[in-house]
Amino acid sequence: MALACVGVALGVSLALERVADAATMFLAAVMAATWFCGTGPGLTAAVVATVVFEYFYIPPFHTLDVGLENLPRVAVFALTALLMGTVSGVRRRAERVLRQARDELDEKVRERTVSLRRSESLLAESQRQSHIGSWALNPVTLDYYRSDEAARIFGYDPGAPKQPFDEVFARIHPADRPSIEQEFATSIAARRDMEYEYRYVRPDGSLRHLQTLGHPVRDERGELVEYVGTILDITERRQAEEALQKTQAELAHVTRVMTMGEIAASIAHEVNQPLAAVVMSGNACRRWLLADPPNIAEAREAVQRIISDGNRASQVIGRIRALLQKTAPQQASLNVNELIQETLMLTRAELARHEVTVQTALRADLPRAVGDRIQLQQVLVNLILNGADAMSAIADRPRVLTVRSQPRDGGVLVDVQDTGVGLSAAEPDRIFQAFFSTKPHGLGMGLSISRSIVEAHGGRLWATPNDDGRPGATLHFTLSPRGDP
Amino acid sequence: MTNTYATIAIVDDDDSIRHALRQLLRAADFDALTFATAEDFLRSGECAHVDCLIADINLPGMSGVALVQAIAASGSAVPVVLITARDDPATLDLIRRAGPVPHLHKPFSDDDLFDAISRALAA
Repeated sequence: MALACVGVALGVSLALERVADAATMFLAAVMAATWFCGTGPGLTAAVVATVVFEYFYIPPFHTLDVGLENLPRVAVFALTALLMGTVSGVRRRAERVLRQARDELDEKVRERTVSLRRSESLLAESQRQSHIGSWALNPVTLDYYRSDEAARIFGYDPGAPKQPFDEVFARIHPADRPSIEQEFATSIAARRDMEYEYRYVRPDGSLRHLQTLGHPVRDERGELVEYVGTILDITERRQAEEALQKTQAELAHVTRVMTMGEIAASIAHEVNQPLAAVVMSGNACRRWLLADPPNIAEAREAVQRIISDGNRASQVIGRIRALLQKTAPQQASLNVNELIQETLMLTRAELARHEVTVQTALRADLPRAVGDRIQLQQVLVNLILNGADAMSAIADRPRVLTVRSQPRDGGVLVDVQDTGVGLSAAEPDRIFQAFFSTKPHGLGMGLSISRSIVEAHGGRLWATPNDDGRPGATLHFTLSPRGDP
Repeated sequence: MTNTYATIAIVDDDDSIRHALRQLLRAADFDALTFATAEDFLRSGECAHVDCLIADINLPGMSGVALVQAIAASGSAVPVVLITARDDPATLDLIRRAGPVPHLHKPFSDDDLFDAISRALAA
């Protein structure tokens, strides 16, 4: 190859004797040999080119004699050829290393791309299956990124252009929007994690329950850069919860009614049997005494039966009394605020169904009360659901249920305030009568039973119009410090 | 009483009721046989001989109403008076299913009892 390059260079320079400089051609040949074949052939080419150059172009021509006057020229040529061969070799090696590095990099990028694409499609698939979308939001510009699943959760085509943030935000259910707006602003201002649950109306009009979780991302100086987070469609979960709560509530109601009916029937039966026997024996006794002649022996036996059946009836009553004492209120020390929170959670589904907004003002310095947790929870459930019911026909103002607690005379005062239809001005106390109900399917027992429970705890339950001028009613109950009547 | 010496069967699982009712019927010049269960009564074969049957509705095992139906199914025309100490929906439903049979709720007066027996015997 080295020889071929030099040969070509010789041929070209002989052919173009008048045009090209022979020395340049041979140097080009050395460079080409080094470039294509490596340093060894390059150096060979340099030596051969020096010999050929001397032979053809250094006088005396066509001999290898070097006259003294031409020695420097040949020497310079030889050195230049060698230098060129060396430099070209170094350069070639560098190029080769560089090319190899670039190839390796290309390969790595290709591999990374494949794995990235795979994890991206895995993520998209798992988001699709779990109904979790992801998002990132610049809280200043409100520019945002959303995953395909996030777009689907919000009811948009993932392929379509993104809607402005405000437009998506405006789809939050009007009843939830004000509170979410406020929490959103608070979270960003405080750089706090976001965790919201709200109802959302998709462009097609369907209502979804969504949960948004978000986490602030800060740069190395601690400045807020963006929020990243997830969006989760919890509609099915929420519907299942609501169905479960509804079933539980219905079951509890049915069980209560069944139990009361069964207890009443069973008491009637247990007492009626001996009473019936007493009446029959009494009648028999009278007949024996009125007979002619009176049958004293039979009459005495009848009286004996009357006495024993009378005793049996009294034993039945004694047993019932003992049974009732077993189910008497359990006295325990209670945190009423906790009980209120717990009850609001239990009734959450029902309140949401009535589109009722709940507000609480629970005093932290509330003393503990003494009483039966289950019974007092029953009272709270009754008051809260009654409040919600009272607001179900209200359309011209917000349905707000406010639950307050505060210390009162060493005990506890609880207010449950609604913005509903209010009380009958003439008879505000009528709602506490048994079997009085404003509801089509109400038994009218709730408030009557609640009042009995509160009074058994040494407290009072009463109703007043709202004292803050808002339409609606407030129900108040007190619990004495020790639960004594 | 015009039905002197008519024989009446009493089926009631409550001892006091059984004894007091038998005593009352005897004081009114009836003969009385007592049984604690409907099955006892059917096994005794007295169904063919008694003039009237007073049966409690809420019996262990076969109910008084099932007893009425079994008697009717056997072709017997013995008149029946049902008695009960319960008035829960299940019992009221049983009474409805028994058809036009006189029934009394315990405790009942003796006038009501003998009225019902008279009507049953006259039927």
